[in-house]
This record gives sequence, C-alpha cells and structure tokens, in this order.
Amino acid sequence: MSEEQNYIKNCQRGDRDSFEFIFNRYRQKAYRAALFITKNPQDALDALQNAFIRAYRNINRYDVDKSFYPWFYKILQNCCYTQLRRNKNNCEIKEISDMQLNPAWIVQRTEKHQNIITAINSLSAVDREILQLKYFQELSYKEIAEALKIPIGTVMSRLYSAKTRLRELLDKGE
Amino acid sequence: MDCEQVKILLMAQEDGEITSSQQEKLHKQLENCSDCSCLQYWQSFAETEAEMQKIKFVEPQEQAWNIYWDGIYNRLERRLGFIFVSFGAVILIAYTMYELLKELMWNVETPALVRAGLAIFIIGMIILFVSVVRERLVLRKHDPFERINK
Repeated sequence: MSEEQNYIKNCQRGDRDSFEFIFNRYRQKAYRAALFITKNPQDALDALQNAFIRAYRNINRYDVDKSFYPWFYKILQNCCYTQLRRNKNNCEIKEISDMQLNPAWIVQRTEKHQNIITAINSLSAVDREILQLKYFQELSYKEIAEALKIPIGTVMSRLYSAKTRLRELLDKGE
Repeated sequence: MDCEQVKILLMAQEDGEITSSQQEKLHKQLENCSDCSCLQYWQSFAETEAEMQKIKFVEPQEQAWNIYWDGIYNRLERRLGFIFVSFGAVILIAYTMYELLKELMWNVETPALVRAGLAIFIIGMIILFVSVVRERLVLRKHDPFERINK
C-alpha cells in the first residue's frame, strides 16, 4: 500500500491531520485546474476550499484502489461550476465555455508561451479541457479517462484531435 | 490501419501510454510502410509540447497555502459543532411544537380558529419537510451537475 493510500485510509477513519498530506500533494495541481475552469484566482481558491472540504466529508465513498486525483477532480469541477453560478447569478453555460485563459496567470511569459495560450484559447472547450488535463495537470490517459468518465480510446482520439487542431493553429500563426 | 490510427498510436507511444498489443500493431504497420509520412507527424509538435510543459502558473506562496489550509481545517473541525447544534435545535423545536400542541390543540378553551390555524400550519410543515427530504434523496441519486455541459 502506498504512502498516499495509507493517509487516505487514516482520513477514512476520521483523522483530519492526515488530510493535510493529501492537500499538500494536490493543492497546486488542483488550483491550476480550478483556475482553468473559473478563470479567476479568487474564485479558484474559493472553489478549491469547498472541493477539499467536500472530498474529506465524502472520503469514505472513495475507492482507495483507484487514483485519488481523478475522483477529486470531479468534485473540484462541480465546486467550480457552483462557484461560477453563484457569482454570475446563474450565468448561461455558454458564458463559461467562452471564457479565455488569461496570460497574466503565467510566470515568465515568452512569445512562444503567449502564442500557445492564444492558440489554446481559440480551441473548443472540449479540446481545451483535454489539453489542460494532459499538459497542465500531467494526468495519464487512464486518469483522464477516470476524471472525464470516458473510455481510454476516446481520450486518445480527443487528445489527438485537440493536438492536431492546436498544431494547425500554431502553424497558421507562424 | 489508416494513417490517423497510426498517428494516434504514435502519439500514445510518445506519451509512454501505448499497450503491448498496440505497440505490436504499430510495429507491423510501420514495417509495411517504411516511408510512411505519419512517422514525422509529431516531430514538429515535440517543441510545442516541451514549451507547454515549461509553462508555469502564478500560484499562492507557501505561507498563503499554510493559512489556506488552516481555513480548511477549521471548517472541517467546526462541522461537528454544526451537527450538534442542528440536532439540539431539532430536539428543542420538536419539544416546543409538542408543548404548543398540548397547550393549544388539546385545550377546549382555545378558539376553533386558532386550532384550525395550528392544524393547517402543522400540515404545511409536514408537506415541506417531506418535500425537502425527497428532493435531497433524489439529488443524492443523481449528479446535480449532470445538466451542465461545457
């Protein structure tokens, strides 16, 4: 049993301190994901706090034999949507998917990074999501499949399409 | 196997996600077409991929994370308090209702209009309670966010 599984088992027995290990392990990755969805650092932090609290309260529903992060990502995604709806007064979902990545959130903005972000922003929400899970969340195909509840084959074809479109956009821009 | 499938498998190979059976299929395919243009397909993307992996996001400082964790911990801890307060409140409300019923409903001196009002109020409360419980149970079974499509 891995160190993480041990800590989760302790959490399932009600040990709140063990949850700090989980929090420290995933906080940055999860913050990045929340930022991608909410497009606002404060909303991302609020959603993240709610997600960690909800994850701890539902930790007994989590199957320790599976990866923790895809399970948590689903909770985080829901908390981000709740946060967006709360802030935007039940905004239309279209508004959410139309939101763009802000280059101001990036450390050391080079021209190449700027071009990549501009190209990613031009993609569809589905393409953006799969790319961010792969490159900015560094999830494996299996973890992406679990997080999005789709088969691995679909992950591969979606990723292929997203990368192809991104490549086309970057080639056009050059 | 068409060119697109070859490109997908090459992508999986690059990502270290290819299975042994897929690897075998790919190998066989590439043996049959040595000048396959698919082989070069991801080469030009490798630089972009490397750049994407280098992108770092502005994130809270370590100290801010510590304060943030304290906020989470305190909210988790307070939950027990809220549970006790809620249970206590339910018991007190139920007792008050019972006493109110005893005093007003069963008392022959209470005007009929007050008794009728009280009965209607209680029925209304029961309907609301059942409705809320049912809604909660239905929401538990279904993902409340499933209608949100990005």
